Amino acid sequence: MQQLSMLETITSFTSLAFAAGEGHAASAHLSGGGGAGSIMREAPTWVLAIALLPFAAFLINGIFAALKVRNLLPAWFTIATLATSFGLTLLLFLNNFTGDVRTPMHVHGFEWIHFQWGATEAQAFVSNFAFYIDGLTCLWVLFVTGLATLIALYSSEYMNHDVGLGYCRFFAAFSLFVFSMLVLVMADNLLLMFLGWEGVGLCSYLLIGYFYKKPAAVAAAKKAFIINRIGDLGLLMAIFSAYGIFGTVEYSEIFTLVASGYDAAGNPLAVNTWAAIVMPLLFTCGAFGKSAQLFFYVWLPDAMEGPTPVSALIHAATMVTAGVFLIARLYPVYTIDPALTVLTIVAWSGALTAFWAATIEMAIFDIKRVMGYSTISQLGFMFAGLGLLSPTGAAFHTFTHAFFKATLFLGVGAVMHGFGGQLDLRRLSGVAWMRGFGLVGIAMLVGSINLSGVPLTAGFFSKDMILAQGFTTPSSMIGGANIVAWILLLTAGMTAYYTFRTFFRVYVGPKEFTTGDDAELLEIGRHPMGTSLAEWHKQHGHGHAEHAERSDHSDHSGHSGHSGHAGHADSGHGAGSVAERRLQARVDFDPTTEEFDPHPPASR
Amino acid sequence: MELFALILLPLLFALGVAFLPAAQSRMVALVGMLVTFALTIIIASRFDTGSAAKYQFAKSVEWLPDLGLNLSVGIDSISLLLVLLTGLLGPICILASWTSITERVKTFHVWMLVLQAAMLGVFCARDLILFYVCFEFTLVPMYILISLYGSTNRKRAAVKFFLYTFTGSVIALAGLVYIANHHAGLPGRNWTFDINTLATTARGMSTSEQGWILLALMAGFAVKVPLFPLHTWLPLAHTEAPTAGSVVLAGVLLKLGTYAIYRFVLPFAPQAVIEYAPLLAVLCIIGIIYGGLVCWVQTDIKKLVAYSSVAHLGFCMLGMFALNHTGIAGSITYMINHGLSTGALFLLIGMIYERYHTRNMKELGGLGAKMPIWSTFMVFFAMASVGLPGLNGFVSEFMCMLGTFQSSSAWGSSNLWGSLSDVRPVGVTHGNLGPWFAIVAGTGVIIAAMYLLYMVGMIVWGKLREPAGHGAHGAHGAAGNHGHHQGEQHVAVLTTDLNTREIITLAPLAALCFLLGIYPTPILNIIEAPVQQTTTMIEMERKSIALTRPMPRQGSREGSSEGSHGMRAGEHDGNHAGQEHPSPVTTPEEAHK
Amino acid sequence: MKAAILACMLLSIAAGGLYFLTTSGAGSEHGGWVGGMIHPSSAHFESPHFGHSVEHAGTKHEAAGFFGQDAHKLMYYVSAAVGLIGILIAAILHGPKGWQGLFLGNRVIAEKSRADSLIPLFGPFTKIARNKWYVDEIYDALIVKPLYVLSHIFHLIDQYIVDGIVNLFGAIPRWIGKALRPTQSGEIHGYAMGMAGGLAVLLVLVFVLTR
Repeated sequence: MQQLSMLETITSFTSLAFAAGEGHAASAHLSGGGGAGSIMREAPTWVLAIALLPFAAFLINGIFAALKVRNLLPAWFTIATLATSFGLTLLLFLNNFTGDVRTPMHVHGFEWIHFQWGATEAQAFVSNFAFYIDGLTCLWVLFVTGLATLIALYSSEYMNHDVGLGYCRFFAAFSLFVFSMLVLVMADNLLLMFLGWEGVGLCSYLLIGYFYKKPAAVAAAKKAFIINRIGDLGLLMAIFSAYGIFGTVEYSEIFTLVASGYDAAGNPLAVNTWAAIVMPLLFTCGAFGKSAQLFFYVWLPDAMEGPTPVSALIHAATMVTAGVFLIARLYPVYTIDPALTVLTIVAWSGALTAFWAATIEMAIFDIKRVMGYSTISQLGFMFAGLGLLSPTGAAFHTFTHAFFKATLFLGVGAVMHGFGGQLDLRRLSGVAWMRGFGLVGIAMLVGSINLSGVPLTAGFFSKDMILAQGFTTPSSMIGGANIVAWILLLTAGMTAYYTFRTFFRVYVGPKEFTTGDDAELLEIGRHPMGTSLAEWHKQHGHGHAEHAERSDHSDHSGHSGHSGHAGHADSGHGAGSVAERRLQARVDFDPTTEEFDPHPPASR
Repeated sequence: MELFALILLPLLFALGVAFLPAAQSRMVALVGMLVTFALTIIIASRFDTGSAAKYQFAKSVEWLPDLGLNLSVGIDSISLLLVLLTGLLGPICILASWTSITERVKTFHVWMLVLQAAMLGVFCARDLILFYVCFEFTLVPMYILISLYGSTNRKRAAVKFFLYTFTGSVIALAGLVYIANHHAGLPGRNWTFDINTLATTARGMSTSEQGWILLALMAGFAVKVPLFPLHTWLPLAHTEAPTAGSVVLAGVLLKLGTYAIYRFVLPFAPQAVIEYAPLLAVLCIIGIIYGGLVCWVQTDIKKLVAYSSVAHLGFCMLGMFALNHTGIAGSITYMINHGLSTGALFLLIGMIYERYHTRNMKELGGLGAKMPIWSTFMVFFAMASVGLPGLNGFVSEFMCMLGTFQSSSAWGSSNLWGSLSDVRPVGVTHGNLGPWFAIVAGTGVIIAAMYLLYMVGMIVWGKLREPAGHGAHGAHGAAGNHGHHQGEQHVAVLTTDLNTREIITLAPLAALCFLLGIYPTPILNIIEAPVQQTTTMIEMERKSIALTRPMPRQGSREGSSEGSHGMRAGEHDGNHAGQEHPSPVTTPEEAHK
Repeated sequence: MKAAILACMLLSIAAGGLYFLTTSGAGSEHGGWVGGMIHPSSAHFESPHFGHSVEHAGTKHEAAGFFGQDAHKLMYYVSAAVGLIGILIAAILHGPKGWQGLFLGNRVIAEKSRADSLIPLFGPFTKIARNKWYVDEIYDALIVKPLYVLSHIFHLIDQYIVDGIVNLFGAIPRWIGKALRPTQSGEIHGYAMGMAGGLAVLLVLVFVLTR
């Protein structure tokens, strides 16, 4: 567990580092500076490799799978590839987006779809495999590749009980996912972005359904794909609308047209209901489907059936932020409408989703699902940020959220592995004080304070940026902006509450644990006393009927007797993964401390 | 000469199979199919892509000169693509049936080769009666294949398939003969069945006459496609047919219908098609949604894929009836792509049927654990079928939907969602469909995901379920073989996961699915010219309808353009079709030279 | 282990480098280095209607403010306060006894905490929230099940109505044949009767019509 915990700590410390950098958000306001529509720079061809390397990794992992490779090679190969991608991204960033000139860059790969459908030159549909890289893209690519490398490193050990069984498949899907995500953010036209969009949906399906022998996982994967597809229909219609109105699907040309205020045929855009309202609304529909907002969020909690690294990468940091990216990328289209109707809708949806998800989280017991709903809630913040005219705040929050949420998920994963799949916060306590979990505890603390917005953390600055803009934007521009901001403020408080509810229940306090029921995880878990967790579970995990016979098992040093588990307050916990056969045990590492009394006086 | 050779080669090999001993049948048939395929490749390599709209390798042999019947053949790029598809699926089918056909082996291979010849004849024909003869002649081998080698209900399925398709085709024949008769009755004209000549005549008929012709032709071709509500023969035929039969049925035979609609219905009755396009599009959309939803509740896996063909070809036809370049080009690419991906799905199903002898998903499932190679292919082709970008299905589906979306004359008026643009937007064409059609059809995309993931979820993922009595297969692992009695013969049974032969049948299809997905440009380029020709013709007809019946709405000012965007869609009339030359009218006399 | 240490070193370099980048003023002023990335991108767009970018349009004119004050400065304190209040409430309700619960909690076992006593206060909301507001069940009932029923109905329509009509076309000749079959009885006198009778009818007709 040691190395895993270190990784989480690293990621959380990174978020702190960013916070330090953000300490001085200046008050001077800049006007203008929009790079859209300016001259584009030519990017060097190796930029294509940033996305193509993960695709090569996918193919090679597929070959490994066919060859039935039985060691950790797929993992190391993937990590090396992703690290190279990250290195190239850093190079790109340092060379091109740190100076004074930060205009977008363009690099052409090959011609994908090109056909002439009309008589004139202009009446051709062109969609190339080409990349358009501006600051927004670069930001996204940085944290996608960086986080992917780290999580691949984490998964190399987390998934190693599957070596020879599904290890290659996991890393193949993982690499394909990174490729799709990079294509999504780097595409220079809407159709290529759609390729990445669906690609991440496919990989999400494959990875959620990784444990395909579990019907719940298969069903969750199917649900995720289908709900994504519903959003994708809206996105597809939006792409068609964009093509109809602008005669092109390439970003640079669309931005130029929007900047001029007229569509390609010379009609004014602002009064064109379709361009101003219907098209952005359809884009929003696509974004909501992918980012689990409003009516589309139901797939995300179920997606927790996948392995924890998958949840960390895909359902916290990258895939779900694709919707935020889409709206940020197409912000010009959203501002065609002088009344900013669709942005108002986005703001309200974001805020309401954030609030809604927070209410659920305050009540549920499964800590992984808490993290899942938390993602939905924070995404709501990001969308609200976009709607409240703060794309910088939204992007910043995405960036910090990616790191601290990944940290939190990786910590939950460590708990899962350590206790045989136990995720119920009523069955765990004081985990941070147990042997081997110290670093996990620190990581969770760092992640939690970021999520709650404790002052001077990165999460604080990013959330604050959105809230500040929320109270600054006038209601004349975004209807009800003030109310939206208050809802967000309330949700921020709720966020702090439920985050620390989890932390105070699970990670601190008296040491206590109950093993979960997952046979595979029990195999790999290590009991803090050093024996195998499965052995422990087998010896102590008896059903209710054999309750009486267990008195002769109380011969483990440092353990008290077994307590009964009849009469627990089953306060309506219909869902959750509480094991049926379980034994509540108190674990004491230090023999000098007092023995725990399983039946304390009723003064609680 | 090449095209005649192409049609005759399989027939010669069929004769060879008939006279050689049964033990050699498979090999001779395979060689025959491969030689035919090689010939198609040679023809393709010598095809002049610069004049893709011209009928190349044209040849005509007199047959019944008094009736104007000639055996004239010729291919343009669209026929070429379909010929290539047919050529490719031929050897694949023979390889797929290598071990599953154990009785009456000769008969099977003879009729497969005859079927191949008939299908190639359909795509190469430039004479109406030759086309019709080949079109109908495909029914005979299919009937025999289904009724001899099919499953439990095969007799009924074969008879229904034959009669249903035949009835429709006879009505279509009536329509075609009516046109020929009309042509012969014109002053100074003789009897001829040449397609180009008759097309020109048919276009000259009144709109109401064209309406009747449309009805007659669609009766025949819509059954083949199949278009709702004339589709009920397909599930039955597919479930009862042997693997090779299903593959060729889904891969090529359905395309006979769609190809015929492109070649005959559009050129012969354009005004009627323009009039009735919305109605036909509604039928297509019903097919998409209805077919998709019915898929979702199937337990028989072959029936599920059969209904999915109904849904997919609904998309294909929707693109066709959009009557603009995007839609028609999308429709043609859809034909090719559907043939590849659905053909592969049937191959995969055939492979597990050979091993487990059941198609019921309730009895059989969770094969991912046991057959990883098969599962990988299954997920891959399911994704191609669902239209995942990066694979071939997406390109065609996208183009069909875009075509539908673009094609609305209501663009540029205040009718369409209150858009107050005076001038038509750039990316649209004239037509009667439009965004609403596209959105409703788009729900088909969601339904496709629903049923395909349902299928994959049952049969690939989940806990392993095998039908009773087949559990012993697992004990033998990858190298295992144990005897298995089937009839009187002792047949060696297959390995648990796919063996090399089976992988060879799937690999070319997978490679093509991928390549056509990321690089569809060659196909899009090659079909551009003929499709432009068709759309030009349709636009001309649209204009003439507009002239004879002035449109009440004058909202769209199609005046001079602003800026440098030149002409907008729908503005080119015959004069502006400078780049595209009208199809050369090859009269029977000229073709002889 | 070695991999983790390597990652550790690389990340520290990255974090340090980023800090260096920001404090050296390379990014644009507003929003730190993230702002420096977003500003020249499409997300910070100079809309023709709003003149300068939308993001600043709101801040230049009639900025709403937080109770009249400039929200940017104030929000640091407000959101910090809100966050800390949330943490304190969590400590009170769920915190363990002692310093770990910030001296506010009194939890001694994993299963129960002070929050449990507050549950009756919220009535049915706790149960509903815990069951995620029954959203999945609602979706199932409103969308999935009806669609499923509809699909089955379509399937039945396809099997019996659409196919039934087709089979009708096949059934009609069969019925006609069945009805007419008794006439082919094979009995010669029957045929003779038929012939004679038919002849008689014909003669009568000819007689009548030529009249």
